[in-house]
Amino acid sequence: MIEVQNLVKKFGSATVLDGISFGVQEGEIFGFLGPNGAGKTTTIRIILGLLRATEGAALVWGKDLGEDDEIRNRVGVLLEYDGLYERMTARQNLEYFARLYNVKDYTAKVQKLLDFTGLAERKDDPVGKFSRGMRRKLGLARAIIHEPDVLFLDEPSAGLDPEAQKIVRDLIVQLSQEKITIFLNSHDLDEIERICSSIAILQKGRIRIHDSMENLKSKMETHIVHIVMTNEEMAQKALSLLHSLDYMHDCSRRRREITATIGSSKTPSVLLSALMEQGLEVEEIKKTSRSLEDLYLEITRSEQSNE
Amino acid sequence: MNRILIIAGKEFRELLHDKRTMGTGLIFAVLFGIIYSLRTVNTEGSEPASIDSILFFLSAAIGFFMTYISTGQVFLREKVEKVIETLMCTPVNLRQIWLGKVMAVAGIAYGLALLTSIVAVVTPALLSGSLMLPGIEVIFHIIPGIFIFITAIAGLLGFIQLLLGMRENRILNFVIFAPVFGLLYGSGYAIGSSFTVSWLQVLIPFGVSILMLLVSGFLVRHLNKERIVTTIT
Repeated sequence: MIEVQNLVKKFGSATVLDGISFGVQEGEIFGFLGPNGAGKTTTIRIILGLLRATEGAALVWGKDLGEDDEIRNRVGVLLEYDGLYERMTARQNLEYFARLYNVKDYTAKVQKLLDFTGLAERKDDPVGKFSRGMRRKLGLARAIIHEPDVLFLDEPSAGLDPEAQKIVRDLIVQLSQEKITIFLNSHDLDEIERICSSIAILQKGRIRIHDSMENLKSKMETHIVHIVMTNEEMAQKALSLLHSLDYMHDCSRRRREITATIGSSKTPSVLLSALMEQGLEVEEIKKTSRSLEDLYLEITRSEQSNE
Repeated sequence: MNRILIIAGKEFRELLHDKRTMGTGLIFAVLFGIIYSLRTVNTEGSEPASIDSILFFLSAAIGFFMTYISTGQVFLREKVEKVIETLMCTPVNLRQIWLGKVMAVAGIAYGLALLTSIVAVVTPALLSGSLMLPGIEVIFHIIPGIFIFITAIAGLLGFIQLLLGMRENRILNFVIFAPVFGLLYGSGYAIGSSFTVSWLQVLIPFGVSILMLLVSGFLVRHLNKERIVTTIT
């Protein structure tokens, strides 16, 4: 449905996107992750036809959204900015966009969305008087006023307080149950992990990982074990020993503390036994699970350390 | 066409409800209409100006001034508030956006140009008791001429404001602001001279306005979304 093929974008001599390719299937909730300046917003803008690709193509249903006006009737957008007129009321904003999208019987639809977003009581207030959270919710309502088949959300909960973040996130979860394809550009890893069916991680203009959430979760099924040794000498010896274990994925030391990543089939007690067999004194041992955040940080940090 | 009218209607209503823009426009239209019309009244030591010459310059000057301040509200504000990016994601193309906005600006600016003309005709009539009506050349100049002139100016200014970045637009505002006031005051001096309105003086600006309108319509075809997006901030 969304096909990004070998996309390159240069601004002058700066290469923002360096040949990225990925696809999003119909009905998928696609999470697009990456640090600031990775090129996420540029990618969305190219897909939406707001920017032109230097090389490659970004197509939706095989068409360029920048060239085909009518196909944009099937696309909903909530960009970094809410896309709302500050001097107009919430109702007027929704009605204006509903008319541009040629929505039939838009009055009832507008009221339904105001109820859905909990803004019905403030419908006749100018948007300029709204809080950031209220504006974001209204922006979301504006983006779905025409019942799009695909929805592009660029940092939908950025800059919101935790309560507003939760409200916006819940709205997205509700939308995801309505079979809309969602392209979600977000920093909120928890949000992505909970609702996305596939993700791509972009860094420095390149796709570092693109996989289904199911596959990633199986990759994430490892245990991270934190071991504190009695002294640094012990810790160094323990590190050498742990490195030699065949089920050890990764192992690093910082003073007396060792962080080890092992497959989910093994338990921390296996490590403890191995260390104690060698007479190494362990002061503390604890296990944590690996999250999308860990995976994300591993990818982005490994890239930084490779430079 | 429907979407163009939706945009035009929204922009027209917003301009109409903008107290600052409309307040300034109304004050200028009425004030200049009264001040300049008083020059048609015979006073000692000075020759009265004809109503034709007053209307010829005043309608153009007020129309230009209102077009200038309205385009800033209609085109630039959408860039400042960054709503234009979202608007360009709707099924509306850039020409439709531009045309809708130009129609709204032209509607408001032309309305005020007409108002100042009416004030300029009515004021001396109230003072002297006799109504002086303009000649057919001036009526032609005001009814289609000024409307085309305002639409052309709105088209060109709108195109420039979409094309340029915020900083360049600010600089341009200073560059344009001075000539606008120059035109307002300059027309006052012209009225004082022995200026008479002929068909040639009406048809030349009319032709130039049509040419400007065609040029702005042609230029807008070459405006692209990337240019607008990259000049938003």
